[in-house]
Amino acid sequence: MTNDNLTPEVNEVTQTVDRVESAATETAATPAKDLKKKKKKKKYTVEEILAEGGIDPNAVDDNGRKRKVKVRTKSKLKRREARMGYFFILPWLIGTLSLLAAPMITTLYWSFNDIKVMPAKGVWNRQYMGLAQYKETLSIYQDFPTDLASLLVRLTLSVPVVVVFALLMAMLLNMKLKGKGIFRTIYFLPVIVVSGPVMAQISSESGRIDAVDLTTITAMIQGALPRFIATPVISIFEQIIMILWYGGVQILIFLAALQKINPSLYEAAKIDGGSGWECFWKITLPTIRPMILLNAIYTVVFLSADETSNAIITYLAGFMTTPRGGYSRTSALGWMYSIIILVFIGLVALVLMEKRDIYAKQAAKRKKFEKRTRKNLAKSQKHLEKNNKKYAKHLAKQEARKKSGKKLKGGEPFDD
Amino acid sequence: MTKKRKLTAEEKEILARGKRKSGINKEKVRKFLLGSREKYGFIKTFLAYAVLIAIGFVFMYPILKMISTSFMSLDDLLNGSITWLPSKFQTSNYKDALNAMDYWKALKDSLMIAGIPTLIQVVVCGVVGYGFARFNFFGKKLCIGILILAFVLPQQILITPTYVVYSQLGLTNSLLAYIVPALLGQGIKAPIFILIYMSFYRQIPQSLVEAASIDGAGYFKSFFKIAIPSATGAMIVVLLFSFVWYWNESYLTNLYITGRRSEYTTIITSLSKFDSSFDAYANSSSAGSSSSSASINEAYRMAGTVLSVLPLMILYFIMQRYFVESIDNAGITGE
Repeated sequence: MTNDNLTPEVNEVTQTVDRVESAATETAATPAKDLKKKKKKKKYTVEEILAEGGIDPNAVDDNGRKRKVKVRTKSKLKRREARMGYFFILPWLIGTLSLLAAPMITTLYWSFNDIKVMPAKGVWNRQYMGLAQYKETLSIYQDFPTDLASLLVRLTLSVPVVVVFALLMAMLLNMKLKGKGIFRTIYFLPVIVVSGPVMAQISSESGRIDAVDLTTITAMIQGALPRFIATPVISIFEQIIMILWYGGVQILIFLAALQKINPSLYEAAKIDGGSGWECFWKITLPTIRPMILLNAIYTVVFLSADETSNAIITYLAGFMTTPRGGYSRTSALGWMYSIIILVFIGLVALVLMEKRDIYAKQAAKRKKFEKRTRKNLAKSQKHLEKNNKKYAKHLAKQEARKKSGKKLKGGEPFDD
Repeated sequence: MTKKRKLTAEEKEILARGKRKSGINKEKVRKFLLGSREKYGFIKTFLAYAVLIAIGFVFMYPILKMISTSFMSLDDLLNGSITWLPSKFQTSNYKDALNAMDYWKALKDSLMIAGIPTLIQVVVCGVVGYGFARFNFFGKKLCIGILILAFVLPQQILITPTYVVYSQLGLTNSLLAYIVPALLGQGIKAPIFILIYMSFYRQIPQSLVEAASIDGAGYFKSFFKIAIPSATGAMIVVLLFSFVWYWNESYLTNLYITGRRSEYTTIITSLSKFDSSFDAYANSSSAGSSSSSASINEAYRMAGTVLSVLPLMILYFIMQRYFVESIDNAGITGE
């Protein structure tokens, strides 16, 4: 957009540069110098590149220095769009400022201070601790690094498994099968069960959710494989049931996204001879790509906040009431943990983020190029200016020498 | 049935051709197993059913167990040989559980406590998600970061200061404690709903939005005419999840709404104090009629749990039909 606006003004830039050059030609009289100048002009092929990219002539002054002009970077449209964006997120913004900010800042404040909560007095501050609080928290909860490492390993292993499993299930549920409604209802069960009282009822009975008796399978694995392989494989098998239960939400999200895909796309692809495999990679996957990121984030958050399977959260919940813990150290632990999980989510997002639109990429490239060219131009213009001055000096010197006759040195410049 | 009419020679010829080919040949077997353009093959269908049933069984298992236990009498429970089928279906378990939980009142309250914030969340998160998905503005990345941070922060450390804020604003001990946060995009698990909407809006082809704006559609028009119809799936998903999560939330409901003044009772909170309320009910009823000598057992608990899950199942069974309907709507908006 900006390029289009600026292209007619590119001529002005060339004019400005011409002016500088004509100033140079005025002073340059001898053909030898002309040649020199031409050489310099060759450097100005940047001009031609610039004509393509477009450059704001106001940004560079006659001497080629970057003028300190505040360039308006945002167009009217962009500002209007930004305004609409704020308008749409306004409810959330108000909610965050009024309901969320205070608790968040409070816990952050607590985490840096030693806080005592007394039933009679309410909250009172004993002393400022700063980062020492965090250090102390870590020294109390010495297993934190190992627990965290095992959690991160678990996350990196189980997030892809959960997401792929959910996608497969969603695709199966999306097929035209008989009894689709019943299947879909059954696959909704995990959503209800995992978050609700059923979980407590079931797990109070048998300790954990078990459907298939795994002992025979584990015995077989132990017999067939060496121990160092068998142990993780068995743990994976034991986890599979849990992974199935944790996939309910993700299945539903994928299912909803799959149903949005226009069936005529598949028909067209099939007519063109595309196989189901190709259809999956070329149609299904690109369309549901945002959902993959979404589900990965959800899985990370869910697993990192799950009280039953996460040692850190279990510790955190108990830490609050212990005399060594209390509010402030629990807050410190919670914040540390959250920041690490947030960074982990950021990494997941980086891996799964949609690749930018090719046009956006081109625009960014062009912008970068423009910036570089502008810099080069300024540099070479500065150089030119310097050379011009030098040349003028040299010319004056020569003139003086001519006037002073054949004397090599000395002699009055104006002794005629 | 329509009357049989005489076949023309041409039709006879076609029929004959069909008969000739009706024998089992290689082509047909292949088509049967691997499927054609119009139909899934046998192998694919079989595998799909096998996987769906196998994993469905994993999900069904605890529910089935719960249902079968809920019909058992005390003798069946104690009898080690009976694991699945009770000797006789004791439906009185359900009757007692219904009475002990004060089910119908609790159901009404639950529907209200879960339903109203859910409907608000569906709307508000839809609007906020659109703002994040469609527009670029200063601080957007920071906002999304805060959104996710609020989701990640352990609820255990946030709950106390949040309660202080809510009670200072006078929201506690009424439905407002759920309604106001939902209105402001801070309801239960609101960040994930906003993210769901965002992902669905992102699926809208940008060219469609541009075409609409060229045709003179403003921001609001393209929101209502393009974004909302293509986010039907997101709406249903958010509705379901939000309802289930509000429904199953016993801790916060107890803290904010039903805690002090027990004007409301939800099904889940009454389930959590099922044992004591059941005893109270059993005592009162046995005082009236000496015949029932019920004391709390696993069967009653399971009956109560089944009753607490049942409305959600029914809701989902109704809603999943709209899933399919969203295809047709989306088909129009597709390119």
